[in-house]
Amino acid sequence: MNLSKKQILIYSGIILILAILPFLLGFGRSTMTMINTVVIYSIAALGFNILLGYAGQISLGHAAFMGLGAYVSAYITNTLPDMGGLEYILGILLAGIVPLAIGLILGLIALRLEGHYLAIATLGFGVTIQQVFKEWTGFTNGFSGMNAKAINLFGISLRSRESFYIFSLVILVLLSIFSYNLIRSKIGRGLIAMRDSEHAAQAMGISLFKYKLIAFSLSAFYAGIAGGLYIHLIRFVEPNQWGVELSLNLLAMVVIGGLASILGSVLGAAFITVIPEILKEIPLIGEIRNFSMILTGVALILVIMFIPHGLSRITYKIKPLVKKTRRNKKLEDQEVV
Amino acid sequence: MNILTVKDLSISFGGLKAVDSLSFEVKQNSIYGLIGPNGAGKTTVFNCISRFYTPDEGEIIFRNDTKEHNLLEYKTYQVIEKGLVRTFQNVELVKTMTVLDNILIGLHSKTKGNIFTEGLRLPGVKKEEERVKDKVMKIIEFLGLTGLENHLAASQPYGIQKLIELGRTLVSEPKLIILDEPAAGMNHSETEELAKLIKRIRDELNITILLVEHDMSLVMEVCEKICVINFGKKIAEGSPLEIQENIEVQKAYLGGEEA
Repeated sequence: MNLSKKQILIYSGIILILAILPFLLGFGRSTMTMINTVVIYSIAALGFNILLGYAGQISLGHAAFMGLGAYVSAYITNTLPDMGGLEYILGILLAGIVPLAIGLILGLIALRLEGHYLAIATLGFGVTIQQVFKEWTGFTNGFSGMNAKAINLFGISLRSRESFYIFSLVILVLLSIFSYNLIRSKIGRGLIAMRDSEHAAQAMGISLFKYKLIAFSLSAFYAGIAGGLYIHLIRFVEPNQWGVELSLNLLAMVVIGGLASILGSVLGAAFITVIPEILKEIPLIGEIRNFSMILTGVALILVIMFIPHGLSRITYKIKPLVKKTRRNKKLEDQEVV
Repeated sequence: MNILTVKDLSISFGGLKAVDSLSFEVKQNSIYGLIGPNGAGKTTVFNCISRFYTPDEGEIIFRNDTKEHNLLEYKTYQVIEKGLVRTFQNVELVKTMTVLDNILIGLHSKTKGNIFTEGLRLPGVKKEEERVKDKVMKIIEFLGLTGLENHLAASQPYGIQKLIELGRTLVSEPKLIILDEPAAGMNHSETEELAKLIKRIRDELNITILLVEHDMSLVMEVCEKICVINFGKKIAEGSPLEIQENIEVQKAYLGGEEA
């Protein structure tokens, strides 16, 4: 699981190229918004992958944590006086910590359930929290929605999509490194052991309850941070965004991108965000409402059938295929001779 | 000195009494066998000792050096910390992990670190990882698995997988290992190797062994004392020779005439 020095160098190179690419190519504002959204969803998917991919637990209510993060950060940055930039850092941190705390409390109750029952319980949680967003107007401003300010860090304004991109990319990279470090040490091994054999994990001293709780609250933290960033990018939030559709999309991102893969989380987020935007441009298909939902469903089925390990490990699938066709071609050539 | 004392253990599932006031004692540094026909309740006894089941009645006392632990006071995942660890009848490995990582899991409760130190990879973590990996490499060497450490556990043959599982228990430096049918699915020569290994574990690592087994040749060769149970009750206890000559045992296995 440990990356070699060469791999680390390659990844650093890719990240650097990704960071300067928008400045070189000069994308339009809407494209930049989309790229920013990919980064933000990558953060949420990264956390969700800890839960689903590494720990093997399901949740159908994680949109609620993301929404919670968004409202918390909006509320704090709107209420606190100008502190130069500290209020934004505080807002985004609390956007992660509040969902983490709620996730802990929910986990204490819900994680006694397993499989389908856990899925139903978290689904119920998601719906409940969304309802709270609608009704608790003092905090969320209800259906009218809530505005938020652009981040201003100690004089540096992140109002432009490009500067925001660098900021969110840095957070994504930091959180990816955190995940990667965690996965390759004791806690990561505990999570994976729990996923693959609960019996063995228990016999080896792993408290299932504790590790489920770790995975659940950590994924809530990631989702909250993503929500906190989202609100300062779009600068407007309303309750309908945080419904079941988003929860299912998070699930689809992780499955399509690749379970138990950090790279997969990013690829999945990109797939779910970018593909619908491209489809919109195509005549006829673009006019079908909710076509992206249909596509997500189809993509999920295809991935599960043909590349169960997701996009991140597609090369393992292609390499032998290429070799095979090459070999077959060689054989044909020989036969001809 | 007895390392494990099981006293009047009873557990029933619905109306079926799987274990019926069973008592036995395992001496420190011995190899103790628990045998019986299919469905006699052997694995159930194991599951009670390793706390996967909670018995209806009885006591399970585990003595680690001078401390006595009433195992019923602990949860399943706490048992290993006391110095008692088990294997499973159907190998329970983490299939997606390497041999090395699988054995590392055995050190879970002895590895330092928490979510912050590990996530941030603070300086101590790397050292700790090196420390535990060194320990695992020693066990890999002991088991003769050198060279396989970076291979996937799932791609190993069954016999090796059983050794990996054994390695995972050994690395935790236990005082007592309970083996659930270690020879199941092994051929004759593999079983012979296993018998040697079990003796080496006791002699070189000073670990007491309690095993449940169907393979009589293994049981008779390695065990110093054997307890035979049938329908959850103890029907005989003694040395391998005594057990072989016991009429009750013969009846239980071969089905004797009712007197």
